[in-house]
Amino acid sequence: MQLVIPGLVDLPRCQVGGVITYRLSPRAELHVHALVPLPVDRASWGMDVVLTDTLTGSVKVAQVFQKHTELGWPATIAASELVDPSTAAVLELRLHVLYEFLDVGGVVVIRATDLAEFTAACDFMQPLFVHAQPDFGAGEVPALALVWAGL
Amino acid sequence: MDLAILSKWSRRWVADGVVLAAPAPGGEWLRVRTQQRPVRPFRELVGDSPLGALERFATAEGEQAGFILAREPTELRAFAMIVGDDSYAFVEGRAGLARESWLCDLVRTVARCYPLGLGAPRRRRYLYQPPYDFQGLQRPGCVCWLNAEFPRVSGRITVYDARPLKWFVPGAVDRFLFIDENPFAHRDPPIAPVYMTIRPGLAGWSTRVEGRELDGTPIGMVKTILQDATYYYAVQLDARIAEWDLFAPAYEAVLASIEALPKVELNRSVNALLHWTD
Repeated sequence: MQLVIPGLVDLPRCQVGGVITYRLSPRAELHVHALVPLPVDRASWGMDVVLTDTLTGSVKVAQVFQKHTELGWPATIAASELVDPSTAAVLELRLHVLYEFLDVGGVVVIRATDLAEFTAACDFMQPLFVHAQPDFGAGEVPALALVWAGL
Repeated sequence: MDLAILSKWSRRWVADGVVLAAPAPGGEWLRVRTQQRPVRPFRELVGDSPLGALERFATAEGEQAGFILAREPTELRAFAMIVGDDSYAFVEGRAGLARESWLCDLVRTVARCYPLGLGAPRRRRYLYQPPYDFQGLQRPGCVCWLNAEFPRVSGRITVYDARPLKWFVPGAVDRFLFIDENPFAHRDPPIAPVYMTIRPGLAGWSTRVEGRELDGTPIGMVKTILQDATYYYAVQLDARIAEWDLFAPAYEAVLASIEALPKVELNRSVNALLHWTD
């Protein structure tokens, strides 16, 4: 199961496990995660994704708000900073978009180490986020008839 | 085909199954991959060689299977796929160009008698034509088909796996937990169920309910429960009343395409396939 965001086709990308990374600019990346089954407690899922998505530093959440995609899927947007706990320097600027597609969730993250590039990346992605859609079919065939299709 | 010939072949275990090779230097071999996941289209498994026609059939255990022959310049490859609940077995045989009939017979027979061992009766997927331009979300024991503009446009069709009729207590709990539901905040008076026959031996009742969601939006739900001699097949349409007519034809097309599960032939004599001379 994949999260599909139209408009990213021409960008340089690499895939490691279930995460596709797009290079938006020298110091800004976009991470698109594979869809995952959602827990019952959606709020704690969102908190876990935003707060634990780091190897170093501590996370300071600046803003959280709700939106809907063009088709009406709910999305939570969280802007945060990764801060060095000893110096309070900002290590990374991040914007998480957490989509809820019925029983499964998708996560998209913009990460940048430069404010100008982060702003440019957010401006570039903002019109694309609303077109995000789930592709439940990527993976297991959902109907027996589709096993024999194309032959 | 006397499958007892395989007992004279050498067998090598590999990570996902076995490879059997004929003792003669003809180069024939058979590979069986077991418990492959996820279930994928057969087309993706058979390579790009020129292919013959697909043959679909039911195994002795009543599972869905397919067979196809690929002709390569120097050899023949025959493939069979046996589909279980959430995995499949894949059989591949290779032989020289002169042995087409023998190879097809071997692979077809192995597939037809393949021991997936999933048991019967049980909750099982069955053949139907998915609604066009919907995408399927797999859930435990069912697939929820969402129209391309969901959730802005409301229609969704849920196709439940077939359930055994004689499942009694677990079957009742299964219905309470996974099939019966009440999406209404307010429910209108009941509408009389409608009897329908899809084809001889597959018929049942369609029950339509209308009501309102919490915000007052009028919604409807129709559930059709068809039966054959062994299983029941439940399918459900949920939509806003204002959009009902957009999805009713797709729902009826799904119902019309349902193929009842094949019969199990576990009691057939094994002597038809094997000669126990050794």
